Amino acid sequence: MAALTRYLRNPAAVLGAVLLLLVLAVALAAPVLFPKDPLGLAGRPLQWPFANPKVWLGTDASGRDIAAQVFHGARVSLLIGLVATVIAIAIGIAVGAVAGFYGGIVDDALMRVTEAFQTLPNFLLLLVLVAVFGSDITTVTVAIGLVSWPAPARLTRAEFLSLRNREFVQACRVLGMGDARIIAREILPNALPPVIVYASVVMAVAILLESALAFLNLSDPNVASWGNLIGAGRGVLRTQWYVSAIPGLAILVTVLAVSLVGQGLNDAFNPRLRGPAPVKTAS
Amino acid sequence: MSDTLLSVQTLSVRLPPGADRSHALADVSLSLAANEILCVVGESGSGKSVLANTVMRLLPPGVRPDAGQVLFQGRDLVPASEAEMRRLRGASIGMIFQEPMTALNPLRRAGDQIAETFRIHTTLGAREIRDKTLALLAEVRMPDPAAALRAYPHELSGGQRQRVMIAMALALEPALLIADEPTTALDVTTQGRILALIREIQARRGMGVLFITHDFGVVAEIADRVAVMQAGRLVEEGPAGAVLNHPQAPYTKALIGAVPPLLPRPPRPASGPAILSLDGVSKTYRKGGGLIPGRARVTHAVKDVSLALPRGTTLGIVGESGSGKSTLARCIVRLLDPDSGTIRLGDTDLARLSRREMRGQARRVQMVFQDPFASLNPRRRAGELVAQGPMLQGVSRSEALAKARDLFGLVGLDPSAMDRFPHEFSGGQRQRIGLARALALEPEVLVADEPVSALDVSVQAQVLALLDSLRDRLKLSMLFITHDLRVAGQICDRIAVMKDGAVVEAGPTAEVFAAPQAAYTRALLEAVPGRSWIPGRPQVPAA
Repeated sequence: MAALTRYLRNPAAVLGAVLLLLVLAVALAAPVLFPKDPLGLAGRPLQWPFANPKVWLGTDASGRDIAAQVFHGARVSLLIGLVATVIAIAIGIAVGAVAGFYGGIVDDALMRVTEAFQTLPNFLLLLVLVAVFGSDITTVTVAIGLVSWPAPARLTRAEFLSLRNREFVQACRVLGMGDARIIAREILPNALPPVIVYASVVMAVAILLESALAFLNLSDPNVASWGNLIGAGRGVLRTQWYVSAIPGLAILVTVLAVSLVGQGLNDAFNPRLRGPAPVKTAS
Repeated sequence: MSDTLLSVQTLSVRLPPGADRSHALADVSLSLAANEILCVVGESGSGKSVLANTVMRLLPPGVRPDAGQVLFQGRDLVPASEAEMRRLRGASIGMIFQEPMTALNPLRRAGDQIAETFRIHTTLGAREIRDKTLALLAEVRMPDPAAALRAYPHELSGGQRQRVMIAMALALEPALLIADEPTTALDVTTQGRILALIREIQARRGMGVLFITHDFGVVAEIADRVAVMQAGRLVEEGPAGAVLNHPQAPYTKALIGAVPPLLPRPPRPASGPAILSLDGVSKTYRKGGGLIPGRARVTHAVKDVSLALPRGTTLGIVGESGSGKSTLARCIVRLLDPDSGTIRLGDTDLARLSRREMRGQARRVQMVFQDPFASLNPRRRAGELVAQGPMLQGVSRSEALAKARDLFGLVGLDPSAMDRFPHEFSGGQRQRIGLARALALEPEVLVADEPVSALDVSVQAQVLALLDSLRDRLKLSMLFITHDLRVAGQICDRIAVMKDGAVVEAGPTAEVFAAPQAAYTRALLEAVPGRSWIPGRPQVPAA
């Protein structure tokens, strides 16, 4: 609970949490406020925001309601971010834990695979995956998860390397505990905090990756994601810039919120890295 | 000893709100004459290091003196400006730190780091600085001063690094030398040599030395006068002989009473056959070299060790760091796999078991670890930690917890504390939890790896007494790893002395103490600080 108090004392972290809750509220309110299909026709195309009270954020080039797309887009972006992050973190923890715990040849082999993934720019890899497996929303989400796991894997491995020789792990061995149980029940809970913090980075990147795909018209065109809306506004960027700017702002706010929350969690878990050095009274 | 060099008057140092007490130092008054060694003794948290750091103004942010004076050569240092302090540090006041590993910059040569003091405080030329540095290295008795000049810290041993630190502190002939636990991180034989060096240089130069330590043996070895601190207050001060042999304050009496005398315990009859016998156990480490076998660096951590532990007795394994004693302990509980030899427990050869089979034998041999902070999983409750072992062996959770409750009582902990997390316990209490965890499996042999070396002396005495009484009550056989001959004498029936992976001498403790056969054993015994001072027995002349 000390971590929670520290978190609440950090204004930037609280701002991040508030923004994130706002985005969440938008996502939850979408079906209530805009019960119709957000991709359906709403009126004359390219109306400016605040010109028509029925479509208060205006319409895009196809005459679809921008407000409805932004609200429904929050659901899609958050879902993609969340699922892709869970996939990336799960693979990362599994690979990192096994590599860090066993070391030696196992570690060498797994780390070479990880490096192979890391040397490729992950957006390029994502393009390849989407080109090969198609671009429906499930494939895109899984593909984003698949290109994002190396960093969490390295982080988990580093934690395991430093924890596996601690005396409490040795004590469990001496008690006759098996490897799987030591990894999952003894080391993992201690290794988790930095990985959880890093998950916020993965989530922010996942949202951006999906938007970038959509901007290139490579994401699922049948869902109202923010990236699709930006992509739709690309053609009219110089005259009707608001079509791209409004969803762009939504992405900015969401990524900022996730990053601030992540940074705040980091500071709350590792209070020693911030502020004045702790007082040492013992010699 | 008439002229006062350093005088601390009614000094109080305030801690920031939220610390465990309001003042790190409260109303401390001390004085140090030129040409004397004042030892400040206390347990962890007594404020002795804060005292040293206040004189040097090396306090962490938020910690400041709020009353009193620190008079150095008649001048008050508390209100002095940072620039004035910089001129004093290194030039008039030298300081030696505890950790020679971290106090030197690993990327710069030793000679360069000593020379820096000259470059900052003097206008000497490069050649003069080099000559002076060389002379200093010779003065601190570096084996090869010219080579040490060019050596990087990692190329020097712990003792040599501490010599470099001393050379740095002495470079500008300071009037006052502050030594904060300078020998705590060193092996006992090295410690003896460094203490002798400090004493010799102090006498030759007529310096005043403020020597911070927790070890009464070191005090007996080096102090002219002693100040005893407890929780930020000065409890007693006086000449070394008086304080050590006729302590007045109850706290000093308790502390000195807790120091184990360097005397063997009365031997007990070695009953029956050996429960644990090692025969020709070896363990080598290979490092680097990759696939090319010839290029690997090979360390023989344990070389052909044969030992026997008679049932119901305690065998001490004594040695300095790097002697292989911990590796040996880890081979016995099979945290490491020995390369060769047999480890016979009853009629099972532990060395030959597979990992899976060893898990089945876990309940027969258990281990207590050194570090009370690292050896307990911070995310598990104390009761769970103790119950874990029996549960792994198939005992039901409620039964295991009931047993843990009994064990808490046995090791002197309050069973109502079972729901607390390890960080809510003190070091000594944590070590008791570690002990309860090992005992939960009712082992035949208990391997204890330096179980008291991380504890304050008074807590150490309690844990040793507990181990001793448990051994008698539970008929335990114990293998006790330690670097401290005082502790070994207190608890071990027999001891084996290890050096460089091999056993150089083994026998009943009393015989080894009275008539050591190996030269190394003699050196170890002679290096124990304050060996001729036996607590509670005055009239023995100090060495």
